Amino acid sequence: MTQMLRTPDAGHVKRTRPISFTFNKRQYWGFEGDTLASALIANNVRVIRRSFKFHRPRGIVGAWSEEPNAIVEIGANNTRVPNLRATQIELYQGLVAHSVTPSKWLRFDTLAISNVFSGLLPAGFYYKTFMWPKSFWHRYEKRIRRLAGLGYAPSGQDIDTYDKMHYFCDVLVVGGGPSGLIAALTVARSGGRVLLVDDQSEIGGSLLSKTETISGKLAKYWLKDVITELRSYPDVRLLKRATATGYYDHNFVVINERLTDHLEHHNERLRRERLWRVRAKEVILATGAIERPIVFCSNDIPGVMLASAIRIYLLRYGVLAGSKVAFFTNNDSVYHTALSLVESGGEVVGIVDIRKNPKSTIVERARSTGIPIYDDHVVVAARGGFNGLKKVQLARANSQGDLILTNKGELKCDTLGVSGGWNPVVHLHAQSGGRPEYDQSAGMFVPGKSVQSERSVGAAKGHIALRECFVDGVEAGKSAALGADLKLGQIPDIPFTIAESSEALKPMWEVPPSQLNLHNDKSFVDLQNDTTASDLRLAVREGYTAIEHVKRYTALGFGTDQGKLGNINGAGIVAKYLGVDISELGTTRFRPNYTPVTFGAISGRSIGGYLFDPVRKSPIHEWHVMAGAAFENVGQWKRPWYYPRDSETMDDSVKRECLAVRGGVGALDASTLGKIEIRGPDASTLLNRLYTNSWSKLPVGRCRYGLMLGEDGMVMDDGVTARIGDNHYLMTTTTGGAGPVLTWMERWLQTEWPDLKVYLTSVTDQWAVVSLAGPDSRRLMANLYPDLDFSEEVFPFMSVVSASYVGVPSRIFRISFSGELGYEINVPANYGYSLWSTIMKFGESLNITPYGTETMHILRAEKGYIIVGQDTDGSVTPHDLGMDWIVSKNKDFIGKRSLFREDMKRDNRKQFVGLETDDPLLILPEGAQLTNEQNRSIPVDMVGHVTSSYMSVELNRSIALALVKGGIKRHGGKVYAHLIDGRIVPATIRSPNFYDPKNKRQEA
Amino acid sequence: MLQIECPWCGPRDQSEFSCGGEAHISRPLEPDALDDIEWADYLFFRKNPCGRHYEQWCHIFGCRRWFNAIRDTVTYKFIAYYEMGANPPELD
Amino acid sequence: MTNNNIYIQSSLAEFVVPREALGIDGSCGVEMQEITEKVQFNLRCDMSMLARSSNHAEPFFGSIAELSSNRFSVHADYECYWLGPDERLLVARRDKSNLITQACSRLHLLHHALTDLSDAQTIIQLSGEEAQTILMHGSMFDFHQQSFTTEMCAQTLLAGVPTLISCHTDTKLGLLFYRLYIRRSYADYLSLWLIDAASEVGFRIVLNES
Repeated sequence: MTQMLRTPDAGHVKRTRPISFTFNKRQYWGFEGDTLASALIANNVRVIRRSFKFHRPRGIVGAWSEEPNAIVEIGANNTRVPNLRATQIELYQGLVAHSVTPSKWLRFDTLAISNVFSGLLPAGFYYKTFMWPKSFWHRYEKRIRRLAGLGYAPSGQDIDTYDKMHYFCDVLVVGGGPSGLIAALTVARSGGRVLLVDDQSEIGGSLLSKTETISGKLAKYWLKDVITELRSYPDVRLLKRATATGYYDHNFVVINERLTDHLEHHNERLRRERLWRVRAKEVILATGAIERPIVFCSNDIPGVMLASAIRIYLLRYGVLAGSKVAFFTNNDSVYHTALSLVESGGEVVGIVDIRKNPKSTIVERARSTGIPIYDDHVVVAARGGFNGLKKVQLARANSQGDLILTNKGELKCDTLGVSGGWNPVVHLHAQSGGRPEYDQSAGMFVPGKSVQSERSVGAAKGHIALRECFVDGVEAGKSAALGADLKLGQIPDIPFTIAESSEALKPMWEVPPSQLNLHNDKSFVDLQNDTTASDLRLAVREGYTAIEHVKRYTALGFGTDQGKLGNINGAGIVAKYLGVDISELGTTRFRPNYTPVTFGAISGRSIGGYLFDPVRKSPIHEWHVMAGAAFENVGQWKRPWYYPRDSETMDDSVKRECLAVRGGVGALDASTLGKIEIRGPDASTLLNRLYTNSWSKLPVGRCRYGLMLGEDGMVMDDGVTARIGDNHYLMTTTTGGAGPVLTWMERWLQTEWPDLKVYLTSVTDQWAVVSLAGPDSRRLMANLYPDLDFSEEVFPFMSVVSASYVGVPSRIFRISFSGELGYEINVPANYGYSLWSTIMKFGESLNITPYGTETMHILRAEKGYIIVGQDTDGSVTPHDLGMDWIVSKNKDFIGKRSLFREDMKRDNRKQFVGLETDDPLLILPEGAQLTNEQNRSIPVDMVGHVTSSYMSVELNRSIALALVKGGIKRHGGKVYAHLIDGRIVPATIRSPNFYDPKNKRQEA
Repeated sequence: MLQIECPWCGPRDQSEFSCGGEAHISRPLEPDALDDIEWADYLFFRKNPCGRHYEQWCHIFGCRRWFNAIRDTVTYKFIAYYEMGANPPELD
Repeated sequence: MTNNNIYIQSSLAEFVVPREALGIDGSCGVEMQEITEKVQFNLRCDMSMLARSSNHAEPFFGSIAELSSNRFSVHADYECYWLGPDERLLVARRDKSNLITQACSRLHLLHHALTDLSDAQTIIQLSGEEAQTILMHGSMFDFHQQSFTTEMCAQTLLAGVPTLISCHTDTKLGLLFYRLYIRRSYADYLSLWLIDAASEVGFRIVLNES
């Protein structure tokens, strides 16, 4: 139970709830409320892993998402989560974690040999070296990945579920620190709908590690009061463990809420993560600021960390970062931390301050407690061994901070807290369209002008002092409330905070080189990717002048930390080498996500299984299921594909179904086809304008096949349309075309022809449709509708009649897609199931056979009937299909003019034909490429492709439909299909109408 | 996700809409009178402004009405909406 | 053939799933029920001209024509939902279906289209304390009672399904409840989705007496 660096009573961890956990196969103890990082520090675990490129030992640097070093992996197999930051993992009983590191041996890394030869591994190394031969890149890449030691993705099915939430609010507040909370309170009191999100497990932000009093009391009391009041409003919602990860258009913000990662046991009833998609009228960004380190030699030695992290570990988690702590700073903030350390029994061996004789109150207080203060000094190098920091070397620099004057001895310490200033978290502001600006006096990038309805407050704006945070928050709350059209309520008072005199920071990105520097010394700018200051210098020498190029050349800011600690220093250093001001150089672009988001959260419930995409079912669906049908997806619809009996294969079933239709009678569920009611005095006019053929003279009670083109002359959809009355048509479309065709027609009516008096209404779901086909279909129909006259004179091919079956209204069409005598019975959908059952019963004596889409495809292919979208692809005209007969010469219609374009007259356009392979048993694969010659020396001219291909049981051979250049004039000619397995298959071009070319059977 | 104001239904999420591209392109009354170049211009050529774009939208999963909008292609802000068939509003 | 062979089925009659499951805290947050025995008609016509066909004795047309966008009105024998500037959904009890067809037959001089969609659409009622939460899981529409309340309706996407959603008040419980009008082909899918969305808060399916 020894946690040597745990203080007796500081921090918020629950000391009555000890937790045991395992790290790199060793067991340790921590407390509830710890993160993995704070518990490791408490146990004096200094080295967490080795870095990617140079394999140098690395320790914990930060306390939250800015952490670049402590990359670990938890879980195994399908619960494995790689590349997590130990600083963001909430400790739970039984947690098992290991470092993500290339080598098994943390102590002695054979791969650290790369450290010795690191002079040969500068920036751009991979880019320059592993480029030749190109084909070898895959081999290089595998090795590099293993050397780099990146984690492995989980294997197997995710045991967790995730979902989404859609939310609207008047004001979204990102960040639950002092400024965010008081802003939220202001809006809440004005009656607004408020969503406040904070990415930590406790709301409070910087207040969780502050010693300052608010209105004379500890911060935690103010915190409690505010949160209690906020929770009392029904329209205020507070989310913990929720990261605002992306800011998009029109104040749309995506928030990733983590719900169960901190729990010990998996609960399958709980969602692991929830993605909130939020539209806010106004946004307040209280995202705080991240401390910026200073770059110096060997600043990556375990023990060198952010000064603010030391404070957080002490005041929040009750952990001393080390036994002998020193600080290196250019501003006041570390002094508070140093004093707190001393109060908690820690030892502070010295504070190195680059400023000369700072006079702030806090500095005086630190001096008075006896802490050695080395003002006007810099740290030129950190020195230590495998176990981490042992000492730092000091020096004095000139007033500009770019030249070392004299060396000034050393300071023995095992921990160094570094503070080079603060970087406001401007990421969301930048994502919203804003451009951060550089504030020269404060030495930081702050938010620029807002492009959307957002504003930043507190440290996110560069205001570090607590009082400023409160003032900002109230002002922002007021402006946001007014922006959301709310009436201001009782404005919160600015709480009383003690003001102390402070001294400004003195900016320094990098400590200049000194004589003490060794040949092999490195100053790290990006700790995760091992990008050094000399890498940046090299990039500039090689001619890179834009920060985006430098980033990609040196990998600066690439890691899971996205450069939160390195990017601004990097920009400052590059600007210095380029001789420009950092404000000119700018920063790299900020993009979502702020921290990594699992794919699970992004998918939500739209994953495999039954919720991936909406499923549409015919009213007769359950009958097909009970009959054992196999289904295929046609768009969102489930359609019976074939009905296997006993132990039939698909080929067996389809063969049986085809024979049954052509020899007797079959039944197909055609309910999924699109149906549109078209009504009004201008109905015929509309059809004339949209179809290629004429409609005005179609008699009532007759149907006609229609072809619809896009304005570019290409076939878009087809279907049979029936004239139900003088001003009343029922149009059918393909299953997939129903929606698009209705939208297409409405678009023309609304945007181009608003004067036409015609209304369109979709009735696809209103009617169930049973399609009967086969020579026995008429007999079956006569049994069902004994009062109906089925003679040729009264009920000819391509006509429609209304009838009723036992009081059930029906519309019966005599049409055929199979080439056999056929009827389609339309009944209101609620009767669909029973109609089908009745037909099955009636048809027993005729051996009626239900058939699916596969059989339907074969039967129509034998007739050469196209399926739009299969035999056409948006580049096929009526002429290409051999359908000149359907193109009216006497009227204008959508697409007509395009048919006369120069390109449409080409003889070698791809044209619709049938194919018969030399080998009657060989079925060509759909999509097979066709050539005119058998030889295969590249380049080969492609003359077409196979669009549909089946085994025809009726013709006892394989048939195919294809698009072939100039095919219409090439009947009898040969083409060759090229298969993926290398075979070249000869086939003869012919008419696509393989069966009953005179259509005698369907018109019987 | 853009938020778009349908003139009938008010502000709704982009997922309810379908974009119809450039607005104010009328179908030529006499297509046969156009040569291939002029016809191709009607069919394919569209403005690509950096800034104000006059476009058509359909509230396809709502009231299914088509309407016009002026949108800034740089900031994605919607500047104005107006009904189908109406003249675009005067902007400064 | 006799009448016994024909019977009407609602689109969710064969829906086979667990009929209820409690939420994580043991409560039932949502009740789902298919509303049957209704007729539904889509009416399209020029509404300003329809208003002129209305008069004292026949307020029917006026009530339909003057409906504001995205609202619905409740009358003794029928409800009227706004679908578009020239489009309405008329819903009545099955035994009152003649009311609508007969009224519209008097419109023969006015160009209009009345389409029976009684079989085409399934009506699912969603009620309970967590009904609003369930909807929020599936749609980027603002269901908060401040912006969507009684006698308001909206067409939007719910779980990817185009849906008409209407909001009603349960005067006994003082709670809002919702009705979802969807194409029947989506009914199975949406029901499964609703049940999945309710897994944390608990649901119960209320069966109709057959």
